[in-house]
Amino acid sequence: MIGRALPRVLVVGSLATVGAVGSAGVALAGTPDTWTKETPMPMLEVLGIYAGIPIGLFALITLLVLTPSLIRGSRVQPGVSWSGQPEWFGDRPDAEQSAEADRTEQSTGGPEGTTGTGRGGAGGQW
Amino acid sequence: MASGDTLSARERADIERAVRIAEQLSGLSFSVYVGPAEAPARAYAEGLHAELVAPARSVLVMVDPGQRQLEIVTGTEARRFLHDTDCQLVVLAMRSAFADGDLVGGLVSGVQQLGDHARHPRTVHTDEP
Repeated sequence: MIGRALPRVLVVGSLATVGAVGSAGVALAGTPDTWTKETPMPMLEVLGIYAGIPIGLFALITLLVLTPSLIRGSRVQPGVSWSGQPEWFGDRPDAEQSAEADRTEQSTGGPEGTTGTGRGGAGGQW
Repeated sequence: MASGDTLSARERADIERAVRIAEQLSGLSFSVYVGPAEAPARAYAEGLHAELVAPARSVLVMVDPGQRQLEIVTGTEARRFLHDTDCQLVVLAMRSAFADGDLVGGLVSGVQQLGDHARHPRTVHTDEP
């Protein structure tokens, strides 16, 4: 069995090697002399294609991303001092009930929590 | 461009809507304060929170655009559903929005996230005495 298979493998292997070398020879061959010679592309055109088009696409995409926020134009800029009146949304402090509510808070507050009142949350600066 | 210290009617409406949705989702009471805060900001925010109608069930988001300060305060009961780690995540998200100059967008999405985190199933038996 092995005696018949070995020559077959050798034949196939040698054929493959010849094919590979042959095709490499074709790939390495230069442009035939009979072909008309193209003049080299001007540097400006090369830069236009390989640099101009990507940069243009970057600019277009950036513009498309920024346009909605530019149109919306949030007037409040963080860092600008807030000279207007404080704004409340949702429930706001009630002067009459605050004292009673605070006492309730103190009484229901468990031992857990950093401030001793059981309040939680998080905070930070930007 | 206006002077940059007031919210437009549409921005107010956006924040109010976010607060309402968060309250409906979580069953907690949400408040947002935008304005100057006295230092230390954390103590000032807790003071504001204590003055709310029902502090135990309230969540306060305080933003001082001038000092770039942000505080989230949760009451004793609200804290059971809105853990401090959730608040820290929301603070991170809001800070990055604020740093990008989007105060209202950061507030709206922050309140939405808080409401989403505080969402809890209605318990039938354990809430009853």
